[in-house]
Amino acid sequence: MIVASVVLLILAALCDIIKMSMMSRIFAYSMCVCWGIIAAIITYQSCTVSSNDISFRIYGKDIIIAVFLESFVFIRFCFAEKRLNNILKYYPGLVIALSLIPLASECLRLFPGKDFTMLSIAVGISTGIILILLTALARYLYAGKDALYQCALISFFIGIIIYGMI
Amino acid sequence: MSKIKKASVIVCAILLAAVAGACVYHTFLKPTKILVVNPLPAQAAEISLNNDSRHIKVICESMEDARNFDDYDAILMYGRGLYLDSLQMRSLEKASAKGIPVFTNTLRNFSFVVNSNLDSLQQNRLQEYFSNPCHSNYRNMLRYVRSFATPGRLGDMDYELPFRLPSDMFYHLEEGRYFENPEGLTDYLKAKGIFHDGGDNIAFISGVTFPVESNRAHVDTLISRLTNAGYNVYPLSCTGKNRAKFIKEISPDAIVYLPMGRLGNDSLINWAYDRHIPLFMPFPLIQSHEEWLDVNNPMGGGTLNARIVVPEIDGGMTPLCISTQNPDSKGYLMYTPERERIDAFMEQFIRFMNLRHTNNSDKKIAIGYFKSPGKDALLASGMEVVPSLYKFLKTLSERGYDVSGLPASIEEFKNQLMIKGAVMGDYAEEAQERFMNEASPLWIKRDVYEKWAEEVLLPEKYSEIEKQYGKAPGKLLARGDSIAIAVLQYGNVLLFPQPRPALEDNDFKLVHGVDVVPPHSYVAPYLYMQKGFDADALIHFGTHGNLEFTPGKNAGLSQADWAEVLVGNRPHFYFYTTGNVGEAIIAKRRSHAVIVTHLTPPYVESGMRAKYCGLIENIHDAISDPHKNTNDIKRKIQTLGFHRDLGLDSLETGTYTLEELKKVDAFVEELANEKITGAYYVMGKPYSDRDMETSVLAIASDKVAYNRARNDFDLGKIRKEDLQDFSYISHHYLPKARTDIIEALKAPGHLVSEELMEAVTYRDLLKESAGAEIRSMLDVLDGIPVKPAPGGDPVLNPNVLPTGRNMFSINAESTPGEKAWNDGVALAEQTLANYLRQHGEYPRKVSYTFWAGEFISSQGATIAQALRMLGVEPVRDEQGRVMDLKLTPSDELGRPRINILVQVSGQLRDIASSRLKMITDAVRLASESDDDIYPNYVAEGTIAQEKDMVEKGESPKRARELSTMRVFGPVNSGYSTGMLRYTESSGEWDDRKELVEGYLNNMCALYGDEDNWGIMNRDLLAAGISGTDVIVQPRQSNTWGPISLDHVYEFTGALSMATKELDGKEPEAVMADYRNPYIPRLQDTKEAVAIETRATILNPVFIKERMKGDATTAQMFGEIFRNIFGWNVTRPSALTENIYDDLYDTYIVDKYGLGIEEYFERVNPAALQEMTATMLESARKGFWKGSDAQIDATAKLHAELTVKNDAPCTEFVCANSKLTDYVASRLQRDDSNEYREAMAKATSEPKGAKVLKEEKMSMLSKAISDSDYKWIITVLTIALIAGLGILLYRGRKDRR
Repeated sequence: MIVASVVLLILAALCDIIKMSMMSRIFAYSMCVCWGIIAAIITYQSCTVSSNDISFRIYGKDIIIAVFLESFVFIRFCFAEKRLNNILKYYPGLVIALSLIPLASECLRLFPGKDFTMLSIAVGISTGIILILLTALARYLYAGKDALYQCALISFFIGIIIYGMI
Repeated sequence: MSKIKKASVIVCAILLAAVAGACVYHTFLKPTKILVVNPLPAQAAEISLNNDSRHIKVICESMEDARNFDDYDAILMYGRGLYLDSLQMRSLEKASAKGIPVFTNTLRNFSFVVNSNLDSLQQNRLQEYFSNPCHSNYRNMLRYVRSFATPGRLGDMDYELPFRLPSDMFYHLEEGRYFENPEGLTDYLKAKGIFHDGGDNIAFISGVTFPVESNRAHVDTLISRLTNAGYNVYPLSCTGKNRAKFIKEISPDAIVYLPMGRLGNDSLINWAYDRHIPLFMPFPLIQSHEEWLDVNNPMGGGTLNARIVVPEIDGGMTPLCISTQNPDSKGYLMYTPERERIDAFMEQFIRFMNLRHTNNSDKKIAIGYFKSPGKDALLASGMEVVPSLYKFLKTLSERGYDVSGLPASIEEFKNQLMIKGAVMGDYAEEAQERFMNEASPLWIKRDVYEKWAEEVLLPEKYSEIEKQYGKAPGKLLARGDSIAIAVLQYGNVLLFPQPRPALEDNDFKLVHGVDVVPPHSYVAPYLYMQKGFDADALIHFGTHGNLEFTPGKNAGLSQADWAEVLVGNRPHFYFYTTGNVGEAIIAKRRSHAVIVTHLTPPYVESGMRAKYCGLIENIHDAISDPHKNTNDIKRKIQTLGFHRDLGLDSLETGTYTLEELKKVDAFVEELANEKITGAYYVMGKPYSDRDMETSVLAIASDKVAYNRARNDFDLGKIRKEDLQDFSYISHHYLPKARTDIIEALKAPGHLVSEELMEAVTYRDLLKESAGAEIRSMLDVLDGIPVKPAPGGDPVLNPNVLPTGRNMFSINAESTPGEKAWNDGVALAEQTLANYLRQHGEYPRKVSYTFWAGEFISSQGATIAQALRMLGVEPVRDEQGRVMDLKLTPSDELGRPRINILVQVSGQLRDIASSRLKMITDAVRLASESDDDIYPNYVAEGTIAQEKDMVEKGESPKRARELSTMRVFGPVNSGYSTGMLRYTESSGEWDDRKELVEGYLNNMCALYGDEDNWGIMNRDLLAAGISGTDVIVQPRQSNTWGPISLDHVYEFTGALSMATKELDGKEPEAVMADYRNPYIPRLQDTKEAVAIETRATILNPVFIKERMKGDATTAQMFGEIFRNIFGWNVTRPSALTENIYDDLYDTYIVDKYGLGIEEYFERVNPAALQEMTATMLESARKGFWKGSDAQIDATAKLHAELTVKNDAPCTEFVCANSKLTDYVASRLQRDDSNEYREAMAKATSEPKGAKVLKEEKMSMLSKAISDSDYKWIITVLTIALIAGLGILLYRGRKDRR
C-alpha cells in the first residue's frame, strides 16, 4: 500500500508538472521556484516530525481525496469550454506539495549529522531546479491536454484502488 | 490666515509641544532605570521590594538574560560566578562608552570585575551598601545611584549614607536588633520573656550572611518553633574564624546550621564532637515547591554539594528541605517555609535531644534487621548478624535498657528469630499459614492500620498501595480483616525483619527498587513501629535493607517519599559496613540515617603463596635464564589449570614463550597476594591476634613495599618499569615488608621505626574499632553525636579506622581530582594499548559501568577514564573544581577519539548527577571536533546513533538531540537493573533474549542532561550498546570480587549479554582495578574471576576460615554459588569450563575433608540446600555438563537436606517448579516422593511458568520505511517518468 501511495503521489506530481508546462514560461518557472522554496520550508519543518507521523498522514485517506479532487479538476480542464478554460489554465496543481513531504523526510534521513538549515536550502534548490527541468522537458515534448488527461485518469483510478485498500 | 495655514500652525505647535514635553520628561522626569545583573533570587527580591521611589525602576536579570546594557541609566552586577559572553561584553563596553556607570559587587579577587564611570568614592560607597544588606541600605543605594547616574532628574535624590551592620553579630526575630555577644542576646531574650531557664542553648547559623532582614520566613519560623519548644536560640551571622569564636562563646547544647558548605574547619568540628554537641543541618532550597517535589528534577550540582555533600563531612544530621523559593503576588521570589518539613525537623530534633534526658530504662528502641524469605539466615554484608545483634542487646541491657525476656543463650535467641522473626515470600503459601498459626505474630486490625496510615501517609500515597494490592490487609500474611507482622519484643526493644518491598510480578523489581509501591505487609511494621510501639529511635542492623531504595527523590525527600515517611520522624541510626560507602550515602540522604560503621571481616592469609611458591620460583628462574624454561614448568602450569584461565595452549609438548611465562607469573603473583577475608565479623568482638596480624599486613605492607621501591628508584637502583610492575614489587619488596611489619607488631613501641609505626597504629585502630562500634551506637542513643569519617575499604583508605563513625562522601564537583585524572588517563590508555596489541586496531566503542562506591573511593577516576577515551580533559578553577571541559588536541592525543557508553547505578546517579551531565557535554564536544588528524569514532558513533533513531521513528531533530546521549541507568528514583531477579528466577525464562529485553527496558533511562533526565528510551540504549568492543568494570575494594558480589554480573554480565545478543559477538570485559593505589591497572574479567575462584570458593584455607563463622557467613557460600550461576547466564566465558566439577568435588564430595555437610547442617542447612539447588539448576539449564553420577549425587544430597530440614523457602529453591521436577526426576522413586512432599509443604501448587513482566516504557514503533520499499519506489519513479517521457516524445513526433 505504501508503494501504491507513493506511485499515486508521483503521478499527481507529474500531472502538476504537465499542467505547469502548459502555462506561460515565466509563470511556470516562477511556480517551480516557489515550490523549491516551499520544499525548503517543508524540509526544515520536517526535522521536528518523525517519519511515522509523516507516513501516517501522507498515506491516508485525506491525501487520496486531495488527489481525486485535483484529478477531477484536471480532467475537467481537459474538456473545459473557453470560459472555464481561461480560469483553470492558471491553476498550477497543488498536490505536488504533498509529494515534497516524504521527499523531505527521506533527505533528512539520508544525511544524518548535517545542519538542518543547509540541508533544507539544498533540498529547496534541488527541487526548484528539478521542477524547472521537468517542466521544460514537458514543454519540449508538447505535453498537452492529452497527456494531462491520461495522467489524471490513471491517478484517479489508482486512487480508487488505494482507497479501497485502506 | 487660511484655514489650512491655521491648522498647520496648530499641528506644528502641538508637535513642538510634544517634543518639548518629551525632552523635559526625558531630562527631568524619566525614572532612572537601573539594571541589576546576576543577583540571587532572594537578593533580587530584596532590592526590588526596598525600592520605594517611583522615580527609580529596577530591573533584575540573570547573567544569561542580561542584554542591551546601553538602554539603562546604571548597571549594578553581582560578580560572584559572573560570566558574560562576547556579545554581552560588547554591549557593556558600548554602555560604558556612553557614560553609563557600571559597578560590580564582589568579595573575591578572582571574580569577574568591571567598573566604569565611577570614581573611587562612588565605588567604595556602593561596595559598602552591598556589603551591608538591609532595608535602608538597599533603599538608599538605589537613590544614591540615581543621584550620580541621572543627576539632572527631579525627585528622590536624597539618600542616607550606608548603615554599617555589624560584620559578625547575633540577631533574633526583631529586625534591626543586633548584638555583639551572646550575653547581649540573652538579656534581650529575658527582657522579652522568651528565655527559658534551664533550657538547652541552640547556636543557629544560616549558611549565608544574607538576608539579614526580610525574606527570611524560613529562618524566622525555625527560630520561633525552637523557642516555643523550650530552647534558647542564638542566631548568629558571621564567617571565618569568628564563627567558631561565636559558637564557642555560646557553648551550645546543639547547633542548627542551614548549610552552605562546611560549618567550620576541623578544629571547630572536633571541638563540637568533643563536647557532644550534635549538628543538625536542615536546608533551604532555591527551587520552587513544584520543582522540589518533582522526582525527575533531582538535587544535583552545586546545590547538592553545598547543602548535603559538604555538610556530611561535618557529620550533619537531618538533611531535610525546610523551605523552597516561590513567587509572591508581585512575582518576587521569596523563601517559603515548607510547614510539614519544618514539623518533621522539629520532631526529629526534639526526639534526638530528648534522648539525653530520658532514662535508658524508659527508652523504646526499634531494630529492623534483614533477611531473605524462608530459612535463610539474617543478612548483612560482612557481619555475622545473630551474634552481633545478641551482643548489642546484651550491651543495651548492661546500660540499663529494658531488654527483659532476652533469651539467656544465643541459640535460643536465634531460634526465636527464625520462627517469630521470619520473612515470607508470596510464593510460599503453606509456610505463611504455618507462620500465622504457630509463630504468634502481632495482629493489626484493618481499622487500626488504616487509621495509622491516615496519620502518616499522604492520601494519594495510600491510594497507590490500594490500587496496586487491593484494600488492607492485602494478600500476604493476611487473615480476615487483620494483617500479621513478625516481631519480637524484649522489654522496650522491638525487633522486626524488613519485609519484601513488593509482591508477585513486582517482586522482580527488588532489592534496589524500581518504581514500585510497597505493599501493606511492608508498610504495616513501620507504621506499628511509629504508632503502636512509638519507638524513641529506630536502628537498622547491617548492610543493607531496601527501604532507602524505595521510589522517590534522591535527596531532600518529602512526605511523598516512602523512605522518609516510613522511618517517620524517629532518630534513625544504621549499622553499616565501612566497605560500602556508596550505598551508605543513599541511606543517609534518603532516610536521614546516622551511619555507625563497622569493620569488614578480617583479612586472612589465602595460603596461595605457600601453595605456589615453588612454581613462582621456577617461573622466575625461567624468565631470567631461558635455559631453565623446561617442559616441566609447562606441565605444572597445565596441571594447575592456569592455561585455561589465561587462554594459553594446552599442548603437552614444548614450552611456553617468555611472554606467556610473564603472563603466568603476573597471574600467580596476583593469586599469591590476593587479599581474602575470613569469617564474617561479629560486632564487639575484636579480631583474633592472628587475624589482627594478617589484617594489618593487608593494610600496611603494600605501602611499605612501594615506599621502599620508590626510594630505590630515586637512588637509581631500579628502573621506572620495575616501579610500575606489580609482580616485581611483590617479588622483591613485599616479602621483606611483611616480615618487618610482623616484627614491628611484636616489638615494644619505642623500638619501632617511623616507617613501620603506621602499621602499629593500624593495629591499635583495629582493636579500638571492635569496642567503638557498639559504644558509638549506645552513645548516639544517649543523644551524643557520631563523629564523621570517610568510608571505604580499610586497605585502600586506612583513615576509615577506627570504625563506629558516620561515613561521608566526596565533593563531586571537584572530580576527577588531579590524582584521579592521572589514574584514569593511565587506565584508559592501557585499555586501548591492550586492545591494539591484541587486535591490531583501536576499539570503536568502550562501555563503562559507574558505581557510587568506586566513584567516591577513586575520587572520580572512573569518570576520568571516560573523558580520556573521548579525548576531552577537565578545566579547573583556582579552587581545583572542574568548571569546564576542553578538547585534547588530536596531535597531542595521538590516537582516535573513542566512542563510549556509560551505564550507572542509581546510587551514582543520585550523588554525581553533574558529572553525568559533564560526560554528555564531553561527548558533544568530541563529536563536534573538527581538527582531528585521526579518525573520530565519537563523531561516527553520534551520526550512527542519529541515523538509528530516525530509522526507529524519531523526528530528525529529536534524533539529533539523542545522538549524543551516552549515559543510561535504571528508572529515575529507582536503583535496580532487575537483572538479579530476572536471572535467579530461572524457572521463568528459557531464552536469554527475555533477559536482554528486561535489561534494555529497565536500564534505558537517560541521564545525560536536564531536558532528558530520566526519560526511558529502549531503542536508544540498544543503539548505544551496539558496537561495544570492550566493557570496563571498576573495582576498588578488597572486600568483594566478581563472584562474591552479585552486582558485578548484574552490570557487566548483563551488558555483555545484551551486546552479544544485539551484535552477535561478545565484547571483551576488563576490570579497572584501583585496589592498589600505587598502580591502578586493568585486569581481564575472566582472569579476575579465576583468581577469586582459586583464592576463595575453591581454596580450602578460605573455606576453613569461613567455616569458623555462623549462619550469615554460611549464607555467603550460597550467594557465591548464585553469582556463579549469574555469570553462566550472562557471560559464561568469564568462568572456567570445569568450575562446576571443581565445586562438586569441593562441596559435594568434600575432597579436602573439611566436614562441609556437617558444618552446614549445624549452622545453616538452607545455605547448602541453596548451593545444591544452584548446581542442579545449572545442570538443568545445560551450564553444567556433569556426569549422571555427579548430578544424581547432588540431587540426592539436596533432597536429603530438604526432607530432613524442610524446604528452605528461599526464592531460588522454592519458587522454581521446574527445578523441583528436575530434582525429583533424578531421584529414586521413594526419595522423589518424599522430596516432593517436603517441597509441597512449603509452597503452594506450582504455578505455571509466567512470562517475565517487561518494563514496557516508551517503545518507539518501527519506522515504516524499509530499504526494500526505497528500491521499489525509486525504480517505479524512474519507470514512470521514462514511460511518460517516451509517450510524450512520440506524441510530439506525431504532432509535428
